[in-house]
Amino acid sequence: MFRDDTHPPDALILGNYYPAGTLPGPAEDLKKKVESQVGAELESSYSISVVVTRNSPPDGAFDVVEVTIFPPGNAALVDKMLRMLKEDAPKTRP
Amino acid sequence: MRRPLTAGVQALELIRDLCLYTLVSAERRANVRANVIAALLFLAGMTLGLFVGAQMLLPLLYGLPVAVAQVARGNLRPMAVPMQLLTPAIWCVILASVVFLGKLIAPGSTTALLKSGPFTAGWLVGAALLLRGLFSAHTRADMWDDFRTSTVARFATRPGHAEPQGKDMERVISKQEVDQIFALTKSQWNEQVISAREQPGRILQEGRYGNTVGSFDPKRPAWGGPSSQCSGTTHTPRMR
Repeated sequence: MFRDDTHPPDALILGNYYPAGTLPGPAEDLKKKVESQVGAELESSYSISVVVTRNSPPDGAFDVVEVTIFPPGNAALVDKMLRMLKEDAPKTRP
Repeated sequence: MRRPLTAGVQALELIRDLCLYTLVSAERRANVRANVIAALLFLAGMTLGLFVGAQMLLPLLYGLPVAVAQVARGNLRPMAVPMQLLTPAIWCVILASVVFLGKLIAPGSTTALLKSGPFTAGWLVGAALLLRGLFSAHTRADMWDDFRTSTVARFATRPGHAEPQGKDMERVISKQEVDQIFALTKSQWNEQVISAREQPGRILQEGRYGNTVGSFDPKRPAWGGPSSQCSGTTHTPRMR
């Protein structure tokens, strides 16, 4: 997520969409597991936010795991970006 | 002479009042007892309706159609369908056994219970409450969770439908890739995304805050990607 043409990105969003009902276990457990894995991978150099959304047909066709990575050292920016992400979230997903 | 007569009349009146009071009280007590018994029968029937309905009706009305659909899509093995009938069949046998034993041990009480209006009403209310859940998104999500753990975990045909733990957890992105992405400007990023589009299976979407690239994993199947606004990765994210 870029704020303009000159700066590096303020956030990196990785979204994964699975057929609804195929993500195992409670969403909170999966969220912690992903946070742990991504945190270990990035060696605490970045802030991360993980959102696990589960759906059941016909309400939604996909379970979603979305990982947002923020550069270090700017908590205010992270909050701002999270708000922007919520506002700009597309109504439909692939 | 008048005094004893008056006293006798008063005594008789007192006895009459006492008798009436006792009679009314007994009636009230009987009524209260009957109402309490009816309420208990209703609650017992409702509990049984909820419990038995959860074991027998839901697998037939929810699990069976979902299993058939998932088998038709190739997500589950065919054995998932008859397995949905197993639990209702077991509970049919259990209930039939309980009724049989009840009629054997206490035939009068068992027949009276089965014919009891409050008990039947409670059973119907319990079953109706349970079936009402089929129309609630929250309850359906819970049932889907149960189905996932009881059936999907056992009969999934693809690795993506299995429990992803330990070594099954795939890496989404490496630190090196993240470092590279956070060193890019928007135009550099967009160039990378456009070049990624040339690879098979990639899709590109232009966005206000940067382009998005995605890909489809036919093995999973799952959509994934440095969705949005960033990512220079050239492989499909492999989170399970």
